Order: sequence, then structure tokens, then C-alpha cells
Amino acid sequence: MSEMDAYKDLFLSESTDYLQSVTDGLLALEETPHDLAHVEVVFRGAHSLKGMSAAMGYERTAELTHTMEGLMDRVRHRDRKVDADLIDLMLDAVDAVRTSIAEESSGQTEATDFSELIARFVEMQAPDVWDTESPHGSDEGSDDSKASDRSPAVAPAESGASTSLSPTEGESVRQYSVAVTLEEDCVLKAVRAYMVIKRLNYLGTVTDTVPSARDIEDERFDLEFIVKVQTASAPSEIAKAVTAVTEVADASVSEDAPAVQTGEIASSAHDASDVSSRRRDTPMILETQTVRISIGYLDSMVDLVGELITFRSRLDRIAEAMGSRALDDAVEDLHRISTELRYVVMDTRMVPVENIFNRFPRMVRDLARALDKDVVFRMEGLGIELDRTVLDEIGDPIVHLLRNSIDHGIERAEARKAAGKPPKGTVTLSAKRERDTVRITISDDGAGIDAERIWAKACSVGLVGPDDRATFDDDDILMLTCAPGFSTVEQATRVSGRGVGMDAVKGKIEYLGGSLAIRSKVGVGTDFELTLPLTLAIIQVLLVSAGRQTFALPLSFVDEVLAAETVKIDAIDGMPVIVYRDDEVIPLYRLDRVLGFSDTDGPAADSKEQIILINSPDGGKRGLVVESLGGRTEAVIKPLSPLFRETKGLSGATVLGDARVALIIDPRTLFSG
Amino acid sequence: MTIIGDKDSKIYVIFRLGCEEYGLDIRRVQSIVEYEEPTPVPRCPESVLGVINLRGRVIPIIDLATRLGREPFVRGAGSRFLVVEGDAGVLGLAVDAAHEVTPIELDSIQPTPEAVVSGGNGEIFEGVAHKDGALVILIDLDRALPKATLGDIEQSFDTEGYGDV
Repeated sequence: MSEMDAYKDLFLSESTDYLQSVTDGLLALEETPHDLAHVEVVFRGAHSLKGMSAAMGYERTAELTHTMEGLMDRVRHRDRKVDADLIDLMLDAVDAVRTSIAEESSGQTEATDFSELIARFVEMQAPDVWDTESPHGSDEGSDDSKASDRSPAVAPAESGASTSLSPTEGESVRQYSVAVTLEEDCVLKAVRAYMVIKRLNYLGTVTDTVPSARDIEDERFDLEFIVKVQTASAPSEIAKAVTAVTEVADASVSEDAPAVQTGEIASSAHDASDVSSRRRDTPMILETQTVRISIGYLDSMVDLVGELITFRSRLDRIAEAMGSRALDDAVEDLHRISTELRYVVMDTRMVPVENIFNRFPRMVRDLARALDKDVVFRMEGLGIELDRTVLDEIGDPIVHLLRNSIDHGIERAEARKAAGKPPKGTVTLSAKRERDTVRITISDDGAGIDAERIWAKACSVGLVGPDDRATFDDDDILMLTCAPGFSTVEQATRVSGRGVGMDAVKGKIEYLGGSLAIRSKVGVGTDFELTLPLTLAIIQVLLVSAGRQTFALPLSFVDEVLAAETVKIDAIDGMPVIVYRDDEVIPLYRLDRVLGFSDTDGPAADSKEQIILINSPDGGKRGLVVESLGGRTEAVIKPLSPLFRETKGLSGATVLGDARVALIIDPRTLFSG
Repeated sequence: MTIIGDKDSKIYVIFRLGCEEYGLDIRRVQSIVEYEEPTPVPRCPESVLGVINLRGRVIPIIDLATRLGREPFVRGAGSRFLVVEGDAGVLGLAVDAAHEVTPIELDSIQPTPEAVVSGGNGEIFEGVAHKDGALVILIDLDRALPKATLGDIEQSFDTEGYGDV
């Protein structure tokens, strides 16, 4: 990778962060239009983006962000009030910046025309026109933002730092620049600097450093660096704290011009919806030592740990066969170490749900506006972590459920008032860790789902017969919405209702080894509850044999295992079935026959064989006849070659303790192949 | 063994299938491994013998003989897998023996004779070369490998919008 490419990667990942904080800031600003803290976040975000893109030579991006910064500067100086139009325009500009970054970073010559957008800015009385000669025209009054121009591509801690300020009542907080000089023969410069910053963070809030935090971390400074801190402590105390650090030669403290709008921020209450943006703004300087690491490395680490676990199983067998006590003990130790290693490696792949949740506030806002609904959107448990592979997959199902809540759940303001509810509807997205699973809930306080209406619909499309009513409780009926072919077409709108339906959502969640539950009360609201495994890379499987070959069946699909000799096999229309618990008729399939290993017309199941009841996506059960069971085990999932893409019924492979390969059965596609 | 490939020659791995010798550009061969019984994959194309565990990776094994229009592969004493990488990722080619690595001069390569080409598989061969009086058929790996089917894995899920409750 060339040096420029390395910078580009850094730029792309950091610009994404900044665009996110600008979006968060805009949405928060819309909630509380008078809160200048949010204005500051947006302003600084745009400003940093401008500096970064100018440094990369992305002129169009720099121009756009400059325009955004200009408008926010007017807002900051109360020359322009915050209204929905302004937020709309700024959000559109965020999209445009994203587009232009994509174009400029890929060296695309075909550039999107932003002139209409710029015209809207002019209309909104954005004052300045882009001037390449003096790109920092609007910098006055924001001293520390200049630092971003020195090291445009880095400085993770600078954006909107002052917003996190929370001074104690009655104390006067001032902004100081602390110039620190290290001793000439100082060896661990980054460590000393870290200690200085840590101490200053203890006294107050570190808002910025020169050079940037990252440069300091990488020791890209000589002997001097400057730390900007907001604190109520006296300059002498600050100097004392800093010089107490070993190998600090000198510290000079000077007071900066008063920080902008400190008072307002101190008095502004931060509500729950603000938590995410605040977290991001808190200076993270050297607080945790982190490195960015390519996901490819993490994937191969998981692979290697998987191999280690496979190898461990092999040693287990050898130790057993040899009956060696010493080897047994050694393998026992290997067990402990490899289990621990597995947890550590899995931990490195864990990503906070915030990473995908953060795009939802914008989506909810746009959608609510499009549908003319008044919605307050809350998110909880943003710090809850999930495996990257799981997280990547659940974004779309959540989007769908959020759309459902806003489109079908939340009533219009008049209807809500008439029902005695607050005119604004509330949609809450929350994540909660429960042992080895994460529960994600999408709840609304809308109209709820009428089970009787669903029932009538399910009858009319032939999913159920009217006579079955007694066997269904309300929760069962709600789950009918997830059955393939169920769609309340009369309700379809341009937002939802493209026909794929809830069955796709349920299918996806189950594919991930999770489950979906729906709870609803007419007039009160609806909860969609997704329960997801923490990780996908290792699953629990049941080993079975069919056609003298071993297969792995994900345990999440297995309801029950019956010995064939204990059940009576009937036939309906020549199809073998068993009657389960006196009332459920379950069709039987031989795994070897389904897979095409055998086409004999022999009996459905030999008395020595086993019947595994598997739950299928359409809600019914199937009995899978296998020759024998090989026990339950943890399987490290290996992907199958793209050559097998069209091979239905398999979801991957795993390596068994004896180094043989077992294919993992995918019950969702097994019967369609 | 020292092998020096100069500008005018390419180094080939020589292997046997049935009674014919074939050559594959050594740069395309990652390794040659001992034969082990592949795990059959149900419902897969005929030319795939199954999958094996190659140092923790699960890779498919291709029956090169059927790809070349010959009799299907049967395991023999000297059977090996040539591990190669193609469009569809890493995979193994089942061969009867792989015993030699040798440079072949480019200008000694001749067009494939009609007698070698059978069943319209002519495009799989780069040409033929003579080595120690025997004929070596040179294989164009990319043409010899099965293509990954272009089916969209994610087709079952629509990201834009779905049904409703």
C-alpha cells in the first residue's frame, strides 16, 4: 500500500466518523433548536471535513463542507434560525459530501452536479463564496479548531470537545493552553505525554492537543507539545500537576480567550437521545490504547483458533486411546488455554451496535417526514456489542421493522390526540445483553396490531382454516404475519409493502441462529423482539449420519430427537408421517434420500434409526430420519467454495476432531433443492 | 533440483492422468498434497469429487479428467491433489501422479493436435510440447476450471423495502 493510499484509508474512515457526528448533531439540533452545543458539533465536524479534504486535494468536497460550515457559522452567531428547512438542506449536503468523497477518492471524473444544492445554500443566505486563497475565512473565535488544519487527516479528539463540558455550579471554568517541554534525554516521550494528558483530564477536560493526539501517540513531536484544557483549577495547580510527571522539564500555562458559549452549554440539559452524540464528542485522547486492524487479520485469527480447537479434539482422542495420564493433563491445559484464547479472539470481533444503529435516526426522521408522522426516536444500549458478522446482517431487518412501526404503528397526530395519547409517537430501539444472546427490541406506542384482523386475513389467503381458531392464541396469530404469502396488501404504501414481507425478516433472523417475537396490544403499541447469538463463527451442532457420511445439523433448528422404534409411522397419500403428541401430523423425510444419496423405496425409518424434529421457516415441523446420532459439539463454521453456490441445503462445512470434513445442513433450503 | 526458468521458457508441473502427461504452469500451483478421500458433497456438479480439509480450509476437489473429457478419476497408488487458485478460489485437482517440475522452451510448444482434442474441449489446452520423446499436453488452468455460478447469494433479501404487517 502506498503512503497516499494509507492516508486515503485513514481519510475515508475518519470522514465517515465526522459525517456521522454531523448527522447526529443536526438531528439533535432539530430536537433542541436553541442548543448551541449541537451547532458547535456540526460546525466543527464540517470544519474538520473541510480541512481534511483540502489536504487530500478533494476540492469539491472541501467546497461543499466550507459552504456547510459557513451556514452553521451564521447559526452560531444567531444570524440564522434553526428550522426544518435548514436541517433538510444540511442533511442533503451531508449526502452530497458523501457522494463527492466517493467520487473524488476514486478519482472519478464524472462528477455529480451540486449547483442546485449550492443555490439552496445561497438562498438560505449562506454568506461566503468559496475562496481558495483564504480557506479559513470563518475561523475567528474558534482557536482550537485551527489545530485541525495542521494535521487535517488526524485528530480524533477535537470535534466539538467543548460540548462535553460540565462544570460544577459556581466555579468558573477557563480554557488554558499548557505548553509542556520534556527533558532532552526523555526516552518514552509518548508515555510521558500520555501521563500529562491524563493528569490534565483529571483536573478538567482536555479539548485538544498540538500536535494532534495521534501524532503524540506516535511520538511525532520534538520535546514540546501543547495541551488545551478547560478547567476550574488555577494555573499554578495545572503547572504543578504537569511538572510532577517524570521527565517533564517545564510547563507554561496561559489562559485562552473564553470558550464560546460555555454558559449555555452548562445550563443545557442533555436528554436521553443525546447520549450518542455526547459519547462521540468526549475526548478520547489516549484514554485507551487502540490500533486499527484490518478485518482480514481478525478473520484469519478466528480461522486459526478454529484449527486449534479441531486439533485439540484430535489430541483428546489420542490421549483417550493411549490412556496416558500425563498427556491427559497436558490436553486439559490446552483446553483451558484454547477456550480462553477463543473468547479473547471473539472479543476482538465484537462491535458496538451503535455502529449500525447510528444511521437509523436520520432514516426515521426522513421517513416520519415523508409519511407526515410526528415521531420521537429513542435508542438505548448503544454500547452493547455483537460479532461483526451478526451485526452486518441485522441492519436490514431492523430497518424493515422500524418502517413498520412508523408506517403502520404510529398514528397521525389527530388520531393520537383523539385516543388520549401524546401527539408525538415514540419509537424505541434498544439493545440488551442476556447471557450468550443480545436482545434487540423495536417498540412503538402506536395503534398496535389487531389479532382478529390478522386472523381474518390469514384465513382469506388460506394460511389457516377458520376452524383452527381455538388452537391459536394472540401471539401465535401475530406470528402469522411472518408466514410466507401473508401480506395485508390493502395497507401497502410506498414505504413498506413491497411484497417480500415479514417472512424475509424472520427468515434472516433465524438464519443468524436467532428468533423473532411479536407482542402487541391494540391501542397501546407493538414490540418486535429479536434475540440474536453473540457470534456466528462458532455454532452448536448435532452430528448425524446419513448415507454413511457425517453431517452437522445446527442445534438452533432441532426441536427434539425421537428414536424411530418408539414412534408409529403412518402414511398419508403415500407420504410417511408421524402423529406427534396426539394432534400434530409431521411429515418424515430421510436425510440420505433428500440429499440424493439413496433412491431406494425402502421403509421410511429403520427401527434403529433416529427421527430429528426440525422447525422449519414456515412454522411447521418436519421429521428428518438419520441413521445415527454422533453427539452434540461446537462447530467452527468454514465457508463452502463459491462453486457450491447453487447447491441447496448446505450452509457451510466444519472440520471434525478426526480432521474429516462434515457438511453443515441448512434446513431452510434443504427441502427446496 | 535446481530449476532455472529464463525468458524463453516456462516452468511446468508435469502430472499424469490416465496414460497421458499434462503440464501446468508452476506459478499457478500452490502445492501438491497427498491424496485423501474427499467428503462427497450432495447435489453438486459431477466434476466435483467433494471437499477436503486443507490445513483448516475446506476446499473442493475437482475431477480434472472429466473436465478434460476423459474417463472419471479413479484413485490410484500415486494419486495427488494439485492445489491451485482460480476464479472460484482455492481448489484441488485430482491427478494420478505428479512427479516432475521442468522448464519447457516456449518455442517448442506446438498447437494441440486434433487427436488430443475430444468432445470440444480444445480451448482448455495451451498446446503440446515434447519432453524426453513423450508428448506433454499443456493446460490453460482458467479454462479448465469450473466457473463459480453467478447466482446472487443475497438475492433472497431485499435491502430497500419489504412487505408490511
